[in-house]
Amino acid sequence: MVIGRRLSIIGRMVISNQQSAIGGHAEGFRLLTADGYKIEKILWGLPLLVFLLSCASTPKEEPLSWKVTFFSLGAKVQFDAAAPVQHLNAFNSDGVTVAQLNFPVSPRQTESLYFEWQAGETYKFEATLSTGDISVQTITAPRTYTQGNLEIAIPYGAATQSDSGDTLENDQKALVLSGSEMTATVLVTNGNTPTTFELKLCLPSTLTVVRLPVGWKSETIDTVTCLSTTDRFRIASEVWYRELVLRTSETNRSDRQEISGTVHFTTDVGHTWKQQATVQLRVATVSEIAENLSIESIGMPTDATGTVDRKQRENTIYYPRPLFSWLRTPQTNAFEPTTYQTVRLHNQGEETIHVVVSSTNIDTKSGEIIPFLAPPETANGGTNRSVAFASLLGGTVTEIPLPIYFHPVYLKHGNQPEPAIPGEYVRDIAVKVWGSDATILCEQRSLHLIVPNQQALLVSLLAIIGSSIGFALVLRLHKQIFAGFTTKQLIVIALFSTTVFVAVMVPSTLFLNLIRAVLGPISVLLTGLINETLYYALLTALLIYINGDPENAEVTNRKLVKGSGVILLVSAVRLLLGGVTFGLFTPMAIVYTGTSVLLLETGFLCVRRRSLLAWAVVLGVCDALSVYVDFQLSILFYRLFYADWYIVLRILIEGFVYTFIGVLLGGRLGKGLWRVAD
Amino acid sequence: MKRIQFLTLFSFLIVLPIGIATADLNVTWVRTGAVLETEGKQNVDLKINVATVSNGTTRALAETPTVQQFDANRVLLQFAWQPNQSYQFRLNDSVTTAISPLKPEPYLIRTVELDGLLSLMENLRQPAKPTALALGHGSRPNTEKLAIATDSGHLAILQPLTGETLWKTRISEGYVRRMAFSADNARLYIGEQAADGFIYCYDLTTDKSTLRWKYRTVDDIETSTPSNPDSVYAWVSYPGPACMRTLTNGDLLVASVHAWTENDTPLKKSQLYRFDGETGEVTWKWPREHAGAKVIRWFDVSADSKTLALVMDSGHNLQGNAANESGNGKLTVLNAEDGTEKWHVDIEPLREYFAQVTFWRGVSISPDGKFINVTTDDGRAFIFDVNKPEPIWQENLTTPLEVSGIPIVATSGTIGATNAESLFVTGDTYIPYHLRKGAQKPSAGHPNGMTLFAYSWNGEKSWQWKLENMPQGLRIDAIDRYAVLSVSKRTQDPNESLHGVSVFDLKAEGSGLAKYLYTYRTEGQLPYDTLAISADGTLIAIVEVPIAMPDETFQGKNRVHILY
Repeated sequence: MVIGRRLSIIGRMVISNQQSAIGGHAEGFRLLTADGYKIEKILWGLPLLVFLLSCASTPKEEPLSWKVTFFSLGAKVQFDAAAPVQHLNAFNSDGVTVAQLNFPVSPRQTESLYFEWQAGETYKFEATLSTGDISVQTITAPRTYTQGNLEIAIPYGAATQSDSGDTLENDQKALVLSGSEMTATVLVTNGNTPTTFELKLCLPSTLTVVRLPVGWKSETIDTVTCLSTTDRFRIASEVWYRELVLRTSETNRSDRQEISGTVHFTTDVGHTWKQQATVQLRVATVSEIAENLSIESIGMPTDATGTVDRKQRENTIYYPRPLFSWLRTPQTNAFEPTTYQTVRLHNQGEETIHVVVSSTNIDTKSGEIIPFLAPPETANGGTNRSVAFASLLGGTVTEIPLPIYFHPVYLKHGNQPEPAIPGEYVRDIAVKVWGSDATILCEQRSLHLIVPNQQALLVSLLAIIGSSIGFALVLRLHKQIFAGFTTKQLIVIALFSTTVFVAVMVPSTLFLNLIRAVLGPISVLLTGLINETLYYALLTALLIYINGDPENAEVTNRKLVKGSGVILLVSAVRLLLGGVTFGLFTPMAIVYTGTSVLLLETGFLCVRRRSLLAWAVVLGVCDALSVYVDFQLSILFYRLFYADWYIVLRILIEGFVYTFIGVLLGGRLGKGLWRVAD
Repeated sequence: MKRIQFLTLFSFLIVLPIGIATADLNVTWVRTGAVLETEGKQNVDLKINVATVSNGTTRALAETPTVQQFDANRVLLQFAWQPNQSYQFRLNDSVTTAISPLKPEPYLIRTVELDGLLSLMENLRQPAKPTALALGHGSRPNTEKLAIATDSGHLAILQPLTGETLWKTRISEGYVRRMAFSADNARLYIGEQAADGFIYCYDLTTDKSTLRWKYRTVDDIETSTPSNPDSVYAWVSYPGPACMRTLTNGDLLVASVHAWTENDTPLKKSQLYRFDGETGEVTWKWPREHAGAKVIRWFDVSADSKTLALVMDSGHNLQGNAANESGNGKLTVLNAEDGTEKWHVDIEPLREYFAQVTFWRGVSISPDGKFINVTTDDGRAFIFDVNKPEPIWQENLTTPLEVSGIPIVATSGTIGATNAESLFVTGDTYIPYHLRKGAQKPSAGHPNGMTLFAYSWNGEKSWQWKLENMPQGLRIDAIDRYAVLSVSKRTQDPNESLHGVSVFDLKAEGSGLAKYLYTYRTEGQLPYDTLAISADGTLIAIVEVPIAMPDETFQGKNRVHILY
């Protein structure tokens, strides 16, 4: 490997030194060929050509683009793109290695070589690429380098570090809110030697100091307030920082305002130098910033990158709590978010705004923070909210994901552990300009904490048990049921069942999805007309045909047969035909049909000698109950979630009203049929 | 024609031999000498001479270098070299002259792949992870031993210089949490975090290592079954050793901790033991009567095995604080010989931000047993005289810096101690939690975060060094010369992906720049606490694990790097 790499390097040196020579003698080759020395030339030239080609056969890489700058602890190397650099070496003017780095993977965009450089000395930097190529830069260290740094951070973290040593002034721009408190963080960084420093900050008249840190002096000259302090750095690279809470004036808003700072460093042997920093302030009101800033959307649940999970119910945390207390609470990691919400902020202005976005989960009634929906106590610093920072670039929409934590069990006020309480909560989302205490935007969104539905479990269990018992009874008593009908009646029942299948099930199955796609949740208003009204009209007609006219009780009683089982037979035929034709023979369909038959047969048994209106009311109630059972089965088995209004709509309109109308319409048809038959 | 002939001959006769000759001997300047690498194999009977070259004259070294041959191509010459000095190396017939650099370089002796060695992929659904590492320094050369174990109970002992596997086994199904060699390398102690919480002692003096004794800690700190034993978090609620140290006489100190929930009630039990290394007899327990109802987070013991300092807190395994718990953290100093308590002090929470005090690896004691340094998770640092419960120094290293009502706090739980200095390593800013890596945001890291601070024991800052990534563990050799600090972070951002171990010369005069020697980098991530340095500071071992990249490939491997 080593030999190969060195040969490759030597080869390149030979190529670069000889390229001009080869080019210059191209004519010489032609002349020799012309005079017949061809073979001899080839014999000598071929090995050289093979050698050169073998050296040059390595695929050419893009030339390495890199920049070296000195800083107090050595040199920073900045690469333009992902550079395939394997080694980075720095040598002093004597050729002695002063620092080196080996990269098992591509280096970061900026890498630091740590060494104590001498002012004015020339250093050689070598970057060895994965191809074996070496890129060299020779740079002379600055003769004058101002050590140390001063940073006035408004807001904290947004200022750019200046430790290049070649500029004495560090200019920044900051957006501050008028009439509000803000925090300015002053950071002084030491150079390489112990120093004493004097810091002086001058504030414009629009700023007043709310709290002056201990050991600071304040004096006002004309309209400028100057704050000063002094301290000592005992070691190299030490960082000194203090926070200043300032208040901006609401009235005085002159155009150009700035905070300027100067720090004078003095070494133990009396050398002095200074560093300066200036922050240009742009004072704006909350309304001015809010004009340019808007919350586009708040999506939940999302992942950590902000992608909305559309498969999950919106604004909801589903907690798969064990149904019974003896099943223990599943183990969770309190420090792992259960989900995320993503706030999309639109900055319509031109300048970048640094914001802090926070979300607090609170109780809708009491307004208190919900402890089991707060970030873990040891990691929220007493804020009980999720927080994220963002720099909103002008004219862009920025997605800011915020974690949501959930603790199934928590200690409330130091008492016994309590389980989390499912229910409706509110997410209080606030946007502040980073560094200021004033809230720019705030919105509230609901947060549902839901658990497995015990009601659905109980109803479904009842439905399954009832259907199973009913099915067992039908199997046991099927001979008696059929014996209750004449052959003619059975033929009519079969005929009606087929009519129900053709008139109700076929169009419903074929067009239901299409109608749902067009009308969405209100499609039940249309499909219910077929599923419920038409079906019950046909069923009622059949019942009247078999049982007689309920309005004409004398005649009816005379002809009254057993009657029980009509709904069972119609439903059975309907289920069988649907199953065979459309593949709808599912456990859910069987349980639903069983429950529906049980309810309708029971209801009909109670009112069959009463008026048609009573039939309509009772069958309507029974069908509404069937729809309710259908919902609970879907909630339990398919883990579906429905809006409350949708459940009410279907139970009331589709379940009761349409059935009621269907029964009344069927009464007319049935009476006619009965009269004909009579 | 002549020119072509000349070029051809020049290429074959001059350039090639020069290239080969210059590649013959490669010199790497390491902390303890120089490693010579040759292309060809060397005889077993090496003839090596080292001399300094000054003004064209060579002068033999005052003391003959110790020669250690790794393999046929590599030799370590142990001698104290001076920076910026020309040295001549004569290896058999080869002669090379090299100028020493200003600082030593890292040298990779070898890597040991772990996938096959520790059967990491035995369970494909949940591959095992290397979790514990121990390096034992032998009394004679080449008798060092390296033990590495996994969260599924696999264990291997290697000879670190040769990579030879000395012994491998599976001790249990449990999570191997801590391991330590006895001072003479004759025994290996292993602590598992599992339903039984066994402490095992293996005798390594025989050809086949044998179990010498074992102790079931759950007899004192109870056992429990996690609600979902297959969960990746299940191991946390099993009983296991939080900290383990061997003493110079071969005895073993173990702090066993069990923090679990029962009927949704958080429970904690901790017990500190001193075992007789030979027999496994419990010399003493602390607390004596029954296990304490707090979590012993960490302890440290002086080099003379006489004084022990431990920190414990109420734990944070449930949201909210129990009424009967004060939220105070506690530093306790014990007589390590008999387990009696010398004193203790309560550390109150920073109530404005935290309801309780918690610790990470927050206690260390100077080898001479005179001072104790402590850090709390809220960013405070303390120094105590070993005889007094009042702190002689306190500093807010990474305590909250509040901006816009948001506290900015960084971790500060990695610490160490030498006779001269107290070392505090601060980590990444954990409040506010970093989201959306790579997104544009103000760089709101704590100004004192990700820094190694060194203070003298009277509280005067000696030096500091800004780290390039999150600290993952600190080790100091037994002679207080070298400190190694692994830095790594689970990230997919290439600009945050610096994984490696930084080495500091604690005896070097000057600032942090003078102390910093180098950072050896790895491709993959370095898990917490999986690094080791030999007692004399020469060998360093680190564990690397793969890290998933944005394109769903993996960078790095499950392997151990053995370095000089």
